[in-house]
Amino acid sequence: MDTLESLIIKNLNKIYKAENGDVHALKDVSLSIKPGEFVSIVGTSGCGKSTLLRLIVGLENDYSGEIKLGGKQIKGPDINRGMVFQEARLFPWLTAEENIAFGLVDKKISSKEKKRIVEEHIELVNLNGFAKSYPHQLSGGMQQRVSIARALVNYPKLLTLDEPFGALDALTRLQMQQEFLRIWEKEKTTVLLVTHDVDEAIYLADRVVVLSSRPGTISKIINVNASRPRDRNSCAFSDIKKAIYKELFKEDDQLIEYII
Amino acid sequence: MSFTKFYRPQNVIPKIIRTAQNTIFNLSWINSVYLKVLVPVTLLVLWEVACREGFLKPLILPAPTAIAKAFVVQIESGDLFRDIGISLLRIIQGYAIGAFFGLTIGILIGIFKRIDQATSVVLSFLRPIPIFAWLPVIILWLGIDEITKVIIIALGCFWPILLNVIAGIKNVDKKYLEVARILEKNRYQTLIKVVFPSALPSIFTGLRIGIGMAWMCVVAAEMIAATSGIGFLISYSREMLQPDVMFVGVFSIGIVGLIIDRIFKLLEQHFIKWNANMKRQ
Repeated sequence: MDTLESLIIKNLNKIYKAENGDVHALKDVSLSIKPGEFVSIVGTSGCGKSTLLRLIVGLENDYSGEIKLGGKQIKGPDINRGMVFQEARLFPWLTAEENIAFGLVDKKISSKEKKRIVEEHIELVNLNGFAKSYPHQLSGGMQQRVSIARALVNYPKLLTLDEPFGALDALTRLQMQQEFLRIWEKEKTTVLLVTHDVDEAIYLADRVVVLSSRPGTISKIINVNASRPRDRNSCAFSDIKKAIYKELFKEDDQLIEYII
Repeated sequence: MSFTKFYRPQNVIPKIIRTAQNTIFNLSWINSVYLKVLVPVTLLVLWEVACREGFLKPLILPAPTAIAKAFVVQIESGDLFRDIGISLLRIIQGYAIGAFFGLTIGILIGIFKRIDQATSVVLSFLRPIPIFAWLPVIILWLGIDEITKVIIIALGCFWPILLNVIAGIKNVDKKYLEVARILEKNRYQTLIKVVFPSALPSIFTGLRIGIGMAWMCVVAAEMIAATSGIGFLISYSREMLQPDVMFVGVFSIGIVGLIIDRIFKLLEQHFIKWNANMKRQ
């Protein structure tokens, strides 16, 4: 696959300068992601997982180490790297289709082509019939679908998601996870998903990266080999879950018992 | 089964009392439209009775019916509409100038940090000065011509428009700007597609407060330096000892002001359809 390229992170360090001492947000993070791979990052809040995503998409630039996509060092935002946020961040003054088309505005393609791409993506996220709706007329799950479509219109090589289903209710979240899997299988783009929901990480990803906090370092990378769709109640699933929780709470004196 | 039912608290109160309570305290039987009309009508009736019984002197406060009669006379003679027309024309001229400068300068200050810094001292010095403090100054410079009134109005509506435009542009949600950055939009695209639309509700608020200010300024200016217009009508009828005509002038301002505000609200709803907060009101 030529159009997709690897994401390579080497010895990444990020320090926030604060008045009462510097905060080492990320320390010596190294990770490489193959084209088309689905990787989840889990960690407790404040472990630097969102910072990692912001560095990868280029919203923050002040770091040391290497972040390369397709051999090129990342310096700022680029339409090759899409991002979906926890809040859908749709523009309330634009309809669903206009929000999706926003990703395309200054692309040098005909308006007919733009229309086709937007329609294709509305269909991709299953929003037929809601193209003309404004964000406030859509449910939380639907808003997040629009947001995913907006991130995909430029056919990015890498799609990053920062707790995209975190604000949704439990049932919608399960539904969206399934939907997202379907979208990913269709688009086959590289996906990096940040979440604090261990179940979600195992259900979706090929590999789960466990990030420990202060400073944020990779404490373990766990492969999930089970074929999709995965059974959340299977033994293998529980074993992986147990291993991840062990990793997350390893600094605590006791392992929390009720997790399994 | 009957045991539990018996002990439910609401069943302790006899049914008749409950219904009576509901009818007294639950006012939903009064249509909300009636409720809105009820208060002004009661006030008018009390006012009229007070005048007829001699509690109020007609020279101080004429009865509503006397004011209504004067209203009809003023409309029939065409004087009222002529004066309102003259005032409105002044408002349109002054508002156009004030809104133009308020919008342009506001947008420039909102967008360019350097302009914001350069003007901040001058603006924060000028802003607290009441418009009417300028009135003698402008009369000294320009006499009592039309231009004096127009400039006072322009100054009056300039400030609220300016401040709201600046606030609207500066308060654009950083989260939206990040979306524009990730999708690689340039500065111009970000301004047109993100910053201005998100500032629009605030800009409209400024425009609406501005037109209210314009209306206040025209009346004040006409009372001091004019021989026509609704403000002149009010001060002249006081001198002529015609309190009924005076009140016709005062209430006309209320009516025309209300109409203008409604028009602005409609415009706002038309241009900012997406604003869910507004629709709920």
